[in-house]
Amino acid sequence: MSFGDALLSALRLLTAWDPHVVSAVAVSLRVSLLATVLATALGLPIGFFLAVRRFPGRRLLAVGANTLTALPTVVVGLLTYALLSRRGALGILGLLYTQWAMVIGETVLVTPLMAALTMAVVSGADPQIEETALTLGATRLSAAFTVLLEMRSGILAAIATGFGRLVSELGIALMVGGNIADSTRTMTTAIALETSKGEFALGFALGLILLAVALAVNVAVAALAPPR
Amino acid sequence: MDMPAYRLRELRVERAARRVLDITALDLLPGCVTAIVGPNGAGKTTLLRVLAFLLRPTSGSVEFVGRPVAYHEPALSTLRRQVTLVAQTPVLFHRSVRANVAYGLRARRRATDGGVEAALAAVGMTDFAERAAWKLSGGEAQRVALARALAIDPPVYLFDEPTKSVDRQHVPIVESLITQLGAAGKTVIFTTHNFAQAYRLSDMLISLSDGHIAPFPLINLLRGTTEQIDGHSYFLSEPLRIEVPDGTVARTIAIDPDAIIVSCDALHSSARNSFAGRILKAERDERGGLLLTIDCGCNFVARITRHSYDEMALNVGRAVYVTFKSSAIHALDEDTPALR
Repeated sequence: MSFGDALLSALRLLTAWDPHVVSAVAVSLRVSLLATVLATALGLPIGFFLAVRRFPGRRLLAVGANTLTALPTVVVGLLTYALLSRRGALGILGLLYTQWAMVIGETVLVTPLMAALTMAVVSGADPQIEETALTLGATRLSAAFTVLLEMRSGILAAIATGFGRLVSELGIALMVGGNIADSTRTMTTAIALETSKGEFALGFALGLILLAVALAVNVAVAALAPPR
Repeated sequence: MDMPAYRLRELRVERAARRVLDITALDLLPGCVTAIVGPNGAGKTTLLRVLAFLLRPTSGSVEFVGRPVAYHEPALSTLRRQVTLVAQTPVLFHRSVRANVAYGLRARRRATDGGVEAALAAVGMTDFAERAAWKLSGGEAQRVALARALAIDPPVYLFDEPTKSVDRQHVPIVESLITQLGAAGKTVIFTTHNFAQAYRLSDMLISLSDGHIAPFPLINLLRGTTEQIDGHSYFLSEPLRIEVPDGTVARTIAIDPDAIIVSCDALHSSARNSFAGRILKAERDERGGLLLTIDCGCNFVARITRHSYDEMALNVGRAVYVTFKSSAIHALDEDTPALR
């Protein structure tokens, strides 16, 4: 099958709204978005704290967060699997091979990345932003919020990066999701499966959608970022 | 007498093992305009940051209106709401001018209507309310930062070089703002490089040099060397030869502007130093005087009364004599605490 044929078949599949394709797209989006929200909620305050507070062990934690950004997805997949499998610590919840399992694994994967990126963004912020907020009567907490708001282009880029890593992630989705059709099958696991079956057209179609989603997210971020 | 707004004792601030502020005792009075003068790196901004409760001193005590400052939250946040600091190059938030000016009111959960407009009007920027703050010039930004401080109306205002980046035509607006705040009973503390401005606007003047408070205003600073000639001590600072008290050894001297006599003719008096010069500038001093800048080969600043100025029919460009006793000279050595 030539590249042109694959592209044509891919477009045909896309315009036909194949239910399996729609499901894989929906699962991918749902899981990645939820995990991005959770990882942001956890990683952002950690990164902010590491950037602005001085305490013993801070550098060690900062190096730790930076190191964990290189965490291989299969390692996180393995750990989450061990945690959620029937004999694991959280096995009783019966979450293995559900979308929740994927959300948990992906949150673990991207939280250090969010912390590290937030730390980099906030460390780069003019310290006068926080001081100005304080001297205008803001509490420590609302001054911190002001700093994040002032650095929103960087923070948004960090969130987009986190989402990008998750929506294109394969290891965790495969290991703890199980690639169950119409349930835990995502775009990436579907691509892997279709490719192994020799169904390049479907794989290619999903690849195109993946790119389109990435494009949409970055367009949204660009629109939200403050003008200069 | 009123309780001081601030009472600082044995205050030290160290940064990277260097002492940047070292104040034995300083009281700042409420309802007064205080000017802090001194060269770059003298510790003026550091002092303001201590007064704004943004910087915790390395050691020593700070009392605010009779109460020792507790450096922990939430006490510190409560205290900070009594004070606002306008930085030398203020940061405006990436929002509209209106949102910037309203920031402090919002932080206090106060209504923003009215206050924002009044504050903008006070700095002559009514038409700028809806403008993007990041598109303003340096001078406009400085005025918006002033409006942002005015909007919250705290009892204490701290201004770091408030006119430094303001365009020349707007300097009077800022200066009269400081005077008005003082007249309204606010405690205003500002730093400046400009002695004339400091004298003109303030009730009290503090000279800072290398983190220390100088016991006299550091004005008429001359650099040179001391030498013994015919049994007398002289300070040589090209092109002048100034007689100083015997035994003086100094590389820098300061001459008190209040101790300089200005006359139309040469004086025959006990004063050891008299130089011919020409008036370059005459600036008003709100404490009822005039600051004359006189070029005698190097510039001297002398303070005289308005009455003397008129009576002697002085004007800019007029040739005059500058006379002072050697006792009016402060030798600034390595031994002088202010320069240590």
